[in-house]
Amino acid sequence: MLSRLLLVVAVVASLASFGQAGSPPTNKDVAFTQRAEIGARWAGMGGACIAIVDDGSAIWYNPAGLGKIRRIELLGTLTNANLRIETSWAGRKSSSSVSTTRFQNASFSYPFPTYRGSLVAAGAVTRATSFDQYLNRYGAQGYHDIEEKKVVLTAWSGGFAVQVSPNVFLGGEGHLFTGDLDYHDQLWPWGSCDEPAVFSQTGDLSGYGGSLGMLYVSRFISVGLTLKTPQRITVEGEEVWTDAGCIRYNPPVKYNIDLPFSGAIGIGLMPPNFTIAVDVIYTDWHQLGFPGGIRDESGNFIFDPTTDLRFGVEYTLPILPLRFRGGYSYVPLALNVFDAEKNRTNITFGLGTLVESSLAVDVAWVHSCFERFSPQDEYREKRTLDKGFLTLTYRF
Amino acid sequence: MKTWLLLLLGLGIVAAGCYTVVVHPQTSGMETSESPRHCSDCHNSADYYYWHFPYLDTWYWRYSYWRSYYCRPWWWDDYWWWDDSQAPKWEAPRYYEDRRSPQEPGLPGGAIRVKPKKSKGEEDKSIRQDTKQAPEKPTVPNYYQNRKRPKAESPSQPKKKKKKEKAKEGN
Repeated sequence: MLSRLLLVVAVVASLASFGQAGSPPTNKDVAFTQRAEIGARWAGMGGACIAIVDDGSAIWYNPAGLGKIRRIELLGTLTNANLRIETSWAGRKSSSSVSTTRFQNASFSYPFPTYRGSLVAAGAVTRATSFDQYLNRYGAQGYHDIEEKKVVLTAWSGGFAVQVSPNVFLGGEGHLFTGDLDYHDQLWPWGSCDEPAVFSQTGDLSGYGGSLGMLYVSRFISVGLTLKTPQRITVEGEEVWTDAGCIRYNPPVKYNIDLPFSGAIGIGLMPPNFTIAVDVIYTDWHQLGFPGGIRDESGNFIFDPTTDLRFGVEYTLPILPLRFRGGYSYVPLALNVFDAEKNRTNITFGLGTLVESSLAVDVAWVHSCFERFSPQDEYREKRTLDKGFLTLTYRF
Repeated sequence: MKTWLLLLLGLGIVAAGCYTVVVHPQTSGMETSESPRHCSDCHNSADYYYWHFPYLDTWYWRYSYWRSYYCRPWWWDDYWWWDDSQAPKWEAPRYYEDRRSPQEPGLPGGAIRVKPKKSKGEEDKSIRQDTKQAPEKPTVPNYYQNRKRPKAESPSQPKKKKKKEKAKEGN
């Protein structure tokens, strides 16, 4: 669900297109249609955790995993992200980067005392994965484009899980979105003026959604299933166009974006001292609901269904409370207006330790990269994201 | 909106009759003079439920730090019907004085004893507390002597005892 916020940015940004001949498809921006990693432990395992998640992060990955929590828990995550964009436009190369540090999420989980089984309730507030972008490009005929984009989407969620049989957990969660969007684009030259043309778009984001999950756990293997229900995101904002000193205010905009169902299955294996997880996530982006549709002038979809593959391994030292993790994920791009030269892949590492059997400290690092190009615009782009996570989990 | 509300409703219906027990089943009024109830009547397989938690079957159980972090519920208290011959002294006397064996008439907790029967055909429905008689010397029934506290290092579930084995122990 948090992945979709980045899709929102892409779709919202596509509202305004300069449409200049020879200019890149500026606002048909990256649709990061991936599920954002929440929590250092699972980020360090490539985001593969649907079948093995067992802390407050389960409210996002698989609500049924909340049922495995046996102690009252407080969890918090801090992230630092650095996005670097390298472009080549009509033979001219440039690069730009932006760095952000954000408090990513906090959750509280309460397992009710039971005589048998498990009943857990949890609440969480999660700041959307930072879609902060600074893009500085030079092109042919003296074109210069500076694009700044910032989206913050906060999800307020509540979830629960119950053990319905000795090996099966069921869970569900619902959430409300709040947030804001801030987008500015400057383009030189514009007409005969030396001043750039500036397009600004600001708005408030709101919405709701939910998910259901199931978890089967046995001694060495576990299987998880999740279904993210359709989500609605409402955008309310205004657009301002500045051209040669003349400012035009477009009418306020308000519209809804309906994100489709998304299903996922995960398998976890737990041989002695190891935890191995594999996730497969499918989303049919053809069912995306957006004003104006998601087809081009030829009637073809501009988004493709995606199947994400995630893999993670964790090793626990037998003599010390230390765990080491690594992961790999293949997350194809859903937006097909570009030709993807190298689809998005993530490489992850992490480690964790336990203090006094109550405080878990986990750190992780995620390296994400993809490349794409647009032949008709003579435009190539490479995006590299390095993101660090720090999670503290305290159990009473 | 309607779709996931219906899904949540279905989830609630499933959860209503599920494995999880939040409220202890009512046991008062179920005992009689001939068949007094004892906690062990229902909880004689407590070790089965104690062990039967998904994590307890995994290697997490081998390491004390992870075991405490993942496996021990915050509300869980140690059960009383293990053989506490190695238990702290303050705990053992309470165990021996208050507990009654299944063979002896009594109620859970052992504080009240049923009046002994005078004849086979005579029914004794009265229950009174006998404070004048000297308490009998408590003995640990064989049933409890064999119920050792589960070892923390063993990840496997103890085998459930068959009825024949239990009958032999009772004799």
